[in-house]
Amino acid sequence: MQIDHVVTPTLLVPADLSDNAVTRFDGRLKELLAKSPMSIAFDVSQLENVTSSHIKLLWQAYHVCLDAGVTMKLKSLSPGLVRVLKVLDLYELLAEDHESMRPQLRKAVRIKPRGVPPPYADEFPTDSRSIDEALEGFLKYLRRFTLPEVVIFELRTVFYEVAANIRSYARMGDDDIVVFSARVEGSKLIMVFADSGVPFDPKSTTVDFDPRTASKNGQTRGFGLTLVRRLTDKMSYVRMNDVINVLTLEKKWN
Amino acid sequence: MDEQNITGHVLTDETLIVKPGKMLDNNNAHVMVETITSAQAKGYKFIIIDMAGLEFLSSAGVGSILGTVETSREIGGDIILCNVSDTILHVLKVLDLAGFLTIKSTEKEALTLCGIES
Repeated sequence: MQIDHVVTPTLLVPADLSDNAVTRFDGRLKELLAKSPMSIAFDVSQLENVTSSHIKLLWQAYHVCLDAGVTMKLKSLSPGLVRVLKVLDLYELLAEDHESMRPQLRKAVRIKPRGVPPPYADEFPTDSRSIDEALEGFLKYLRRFTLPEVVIFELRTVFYEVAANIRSYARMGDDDIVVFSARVEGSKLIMVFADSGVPFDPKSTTVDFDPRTASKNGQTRGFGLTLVRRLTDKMSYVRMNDVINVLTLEKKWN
Repeated sequence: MDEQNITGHVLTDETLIVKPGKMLDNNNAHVMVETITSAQAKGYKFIIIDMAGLEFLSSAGVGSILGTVETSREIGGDIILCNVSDTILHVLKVLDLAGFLTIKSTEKEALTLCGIES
């Protein structure tokens, strides 16, 4: 009996994300994909201090592999990276061993309209067009569930307000992105927003709001987070590695 | 972006009707503020905002109305919302504004409030 030994090629994910390093990484990934491997191992051992740019790189690589029908495997994950991926709800998607599941199958599972719904994930820059596009993607995801129209509207409002708040106050660069994930658990939705902007804890804003005072003061802005707090059931915030803001929101219905 | 879709239409010397289009959000809320404050500066006491086509109202959109309504009320006028959909009304209720802002079901009712018989 002849046994074929399948060697999984390995690609080192650089900690340094200079233009040259990213170009080299992309080039090497293309070379490996051209050989049509079953899977590619991404050695992430250098990612001790994880930033949103690293997550963006992994996320983009994941999609390139997915489109090419190649399984992505992360190798040598640091505890810090595991923690970041788990908080962002991306651990299951990016890091769990899907040895037996080809990407095409995984993709099929992701678009399956019934049964246990898979998590949703996206990334977007904070210009208004990108926010609108990300919002459309999120709404498509929500439409796969039987949610009351008012709940969809509330979730749309929450997404928009958080993204717009990051755009206005996080002082992100043009190349910086927001990583977003969502998952439904029973009759609640959990949303996670991660960005590398300046530290800001939305929980520090008040839920109290007096229309008369706001009106008398001619206040036209600054109601977004109040609205988010009133439209959601739970909010938590952590600043990870002093680089990433992670905001988790929970919304229940029924 | 929907900033081009905010339109104003003069009804009388005292009344202007404004239609915000499909979206009133961070992209065009400043245009709504400018439209309203400009009308107030020209002496329009009543500004009717016809929300018939409005599909989304962000907090900035809410602010464009809330932050300008006092100026109209100080001169005996008001900003009146009409044709407000259930979802938009829901947002206003969440912010405790449904009882604070003047909301009428139809444009006709809004006009009546301004002393205009259609």
